[in-house]
Amino acid sequence: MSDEREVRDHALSRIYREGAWPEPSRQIDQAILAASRRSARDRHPLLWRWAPPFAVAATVVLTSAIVLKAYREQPETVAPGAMEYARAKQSAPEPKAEAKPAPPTAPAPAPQTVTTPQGFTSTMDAGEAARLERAQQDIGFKDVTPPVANQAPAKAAPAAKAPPALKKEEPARADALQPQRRADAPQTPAAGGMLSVFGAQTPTATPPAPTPPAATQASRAVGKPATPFTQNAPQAAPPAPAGAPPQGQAPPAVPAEALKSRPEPTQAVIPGVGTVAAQVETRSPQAWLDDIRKLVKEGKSEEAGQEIARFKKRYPDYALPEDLR
Amino acid sequence: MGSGPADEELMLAYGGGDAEAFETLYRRHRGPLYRFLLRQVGEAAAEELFQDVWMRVIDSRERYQPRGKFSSWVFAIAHNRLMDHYRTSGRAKFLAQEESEEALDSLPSGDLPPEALLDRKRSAERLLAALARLPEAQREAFLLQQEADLSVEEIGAAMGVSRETAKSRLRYALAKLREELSRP
Repeated sequence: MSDEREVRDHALSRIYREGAWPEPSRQIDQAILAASRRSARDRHPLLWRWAPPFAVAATVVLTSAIVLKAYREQPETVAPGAMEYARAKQSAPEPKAEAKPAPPTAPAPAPQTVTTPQGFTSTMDAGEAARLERAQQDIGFKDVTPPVANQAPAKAAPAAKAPPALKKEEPARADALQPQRRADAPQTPAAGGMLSVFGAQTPTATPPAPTPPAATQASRAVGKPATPFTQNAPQAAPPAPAGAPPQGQAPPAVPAEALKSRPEPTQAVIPGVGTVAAQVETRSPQAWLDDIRKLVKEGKSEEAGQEIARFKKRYPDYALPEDLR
Repeated sequence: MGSGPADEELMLAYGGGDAEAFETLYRRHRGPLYRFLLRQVGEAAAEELFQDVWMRVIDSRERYQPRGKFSSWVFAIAHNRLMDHYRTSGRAKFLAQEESEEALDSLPSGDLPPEALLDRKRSAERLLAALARLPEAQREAFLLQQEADLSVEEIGAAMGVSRETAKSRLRYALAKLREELSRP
């Protein structure tokens, strides 16, 4: 305290305070006070406390959204590992089998080469690829089970050249099937499009298997071909014959000789069904007759007559109804 | 400094978002801080330094810890800013200028002459003129004592020197000012 008294001169201090007392200008005061208020408002402790977790949460949400969007648009380029995982998950046995699960002996799907006849490779995601694969297995595209002994339904299918998809995915298999195709297989554009997938898979020369009932096999073969690329393909291929006539009426067995001489399907289109070739492969005799009746009702008697003639050739033993005779 | 909350409490309140606390704090110290700068660097530079010091106070409001008097902290900021100003303006000799104790003995001691106390207004003008002629370190020590009301210890802390050095600077400043005022 003595030091303080030694260096403090109260008389000098009084004289100093008699002098001018300049102060900062009002503009400086306003500028500084405005800055202080702005700082207190902008960086409020409550907001500042929640800013980091909020930023982290926003970053996670945005990143997830971007990744999901990019994955949906281009799954192959964004997450090939995720796609493989999805495939593995799809190929695993499902408790509720919407379609038949992939058999253990089925070949593993080639990654990123799933192709549709329409060329949707780049837009197909893992789920769609897995569904397509199951559908192909259902119709025998990739099935390893032996083919049926009865060759008639196989011949009924309009064999055509393998589509680009098949050539790309399994070139060796497509080449192996090439010489087995029938010489009289229809080469129409319609058959080479949707139905050609089935046609290319028709194993006409494969060894016979234990023979199920011929009628069942025939109806199976007739009922399946057009299903692979329809929306309800897996559901449309149950073990029971999809094309079997109602009330247990089995279609008459068709001799192989008769089928060999069967005319090729034409491109005549029946409304709501597709080409005649498709009808031949997909319809039961009863459905075929119903379509002929439609043609008659629509006044297309000439086409109806052609259809009746074709029907008679396909099913010579089938008794035509009275109204179509 | 007056009634009401202490400076340190106000600064803590401002750190918690209370803008009114800063306004109170500012009004308490704006005059002394401004004059402290004005007496040393002139009006133009003083305004710039004055704003800069307060902006540093605002920016450091969340880090402020009341380890000492708020005025010591603020004037320490002003001292550092003043040193930067001296360096940039080529007045760095301030840092090395100290005077010996022997030189202090040659200066007059004792009370001011009676005429200086009678005509205070004129004496104040002479005092400010003498203050302007003091070396920077002595003038700053005197201003810290008069404007910020800091003790010798606090003056040393604010200027970054020892207590003895601060005391020596103060003694020189007082002696020279007394000498100026004692002249007829």
